[in-house]
Amino acid sequence: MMWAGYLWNPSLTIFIDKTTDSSHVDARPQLTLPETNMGKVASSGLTVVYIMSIIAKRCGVTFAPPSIILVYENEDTSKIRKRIIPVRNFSKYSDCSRAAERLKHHSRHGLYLKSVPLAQLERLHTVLRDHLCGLTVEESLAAQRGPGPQEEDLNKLSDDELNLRKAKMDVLFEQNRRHKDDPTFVYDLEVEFPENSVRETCSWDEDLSDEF
Amino acid sequence: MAGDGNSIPELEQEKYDSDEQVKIICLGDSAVGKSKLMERFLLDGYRPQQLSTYALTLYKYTTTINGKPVLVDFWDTAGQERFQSMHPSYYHKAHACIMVFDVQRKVTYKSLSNWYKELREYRPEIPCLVVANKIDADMRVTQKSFNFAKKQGLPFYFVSAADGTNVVKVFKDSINMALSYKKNSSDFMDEVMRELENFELESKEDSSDKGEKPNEGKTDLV
Repeated sequence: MMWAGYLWNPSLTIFIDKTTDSSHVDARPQLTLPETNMGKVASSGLTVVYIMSIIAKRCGVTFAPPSIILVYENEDTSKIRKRIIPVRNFSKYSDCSRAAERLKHHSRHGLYLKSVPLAQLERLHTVLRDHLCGLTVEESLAAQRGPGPQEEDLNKLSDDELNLRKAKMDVLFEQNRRHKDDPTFVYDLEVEFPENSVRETCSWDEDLSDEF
Repeated sequence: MAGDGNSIPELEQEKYDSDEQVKIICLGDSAVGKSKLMERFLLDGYRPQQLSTYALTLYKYTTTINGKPVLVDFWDTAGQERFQSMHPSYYHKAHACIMVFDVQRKVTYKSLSNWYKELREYRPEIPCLVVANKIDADMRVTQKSFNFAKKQGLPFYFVSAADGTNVVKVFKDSINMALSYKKNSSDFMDEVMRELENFELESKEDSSDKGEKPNEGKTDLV
């Protein structure tokens, strides 16, 4: 095992003793000794090699129990692993940015979250909090996006700004574009989208505030 | 109100009164794909006339309907707010309207009510088609119903300027609707205009008796 060497390194042992703290939210340090120790090593910045070897791939949440899920690659072993980080002492009244910061600098988990942006951790905590308030993930994310690029009123922009947005949109346009030189090109391409009774009402119509 | 239409000096809008010419306006927020739709319909055959001062691009199109040649002017307008003062001339003498929104951006759908309200202030009766563009970005939207068109009793089209879905259909339908509107026009302003023109003709006959030039006085009435 990779970390065995570090564990038995005398200088490290000292270090571990030094950083022993009582601020753990995780209640089972003894059961996962190697991992626990490794976390402590990393949080001191002593073993830079080890810090570099964790590459976060994906980061998400689960609700039961409330946890941050991190899929990462250990570069030394090239293995993809999943780490479940329980979010403790968290309620719908919690401050999400502080909770995210606490986790980012957590003595053990912090190592794994180095390459995860704080903003993402904050978003995930907000999803958790919104879930406790009864919102779905989609609703929470939509609320967090606020009037993002999707909802921006482009009518108010200058020509230059508008052209910039258009250029971004053109990427998808070109990607989906059927050129007239394409052998399957049909000039008058008619597609029927039959309206049936099960058709779902677009959520854009649910806004009662602005009646058409 | 009708006088507002002459505020683009380069454009002679009288021609739209002749039977073989129709004017179709394209409305909608910035970047919903109005120009892309035009270009997809016309392919290489378009010769747009850019009037950037007025944030307007004119596309001319010639077709044959029932054996008769028809000239169509498509007015591709800017959605940007600073061109709002130009809107009256967009609407002036239009025979049909294509109203576009972007299925990727809710704000453009919500704007439809404003565009429609303005359209009806100037052109209470002209046919109006509602176009949901960019369905290629997410085909699932075609499973949904967008109530705006239904509520206003307007024809609705799912369209993609990128892959071409229903683009030609929209434009063909709009031309047919524009022509049939022109034939059976009941817009109040059109009737007023016709009355004025008849009146003008009569007064011209009167005045020609007095030896005046027949074309005089016309601009005062428009």
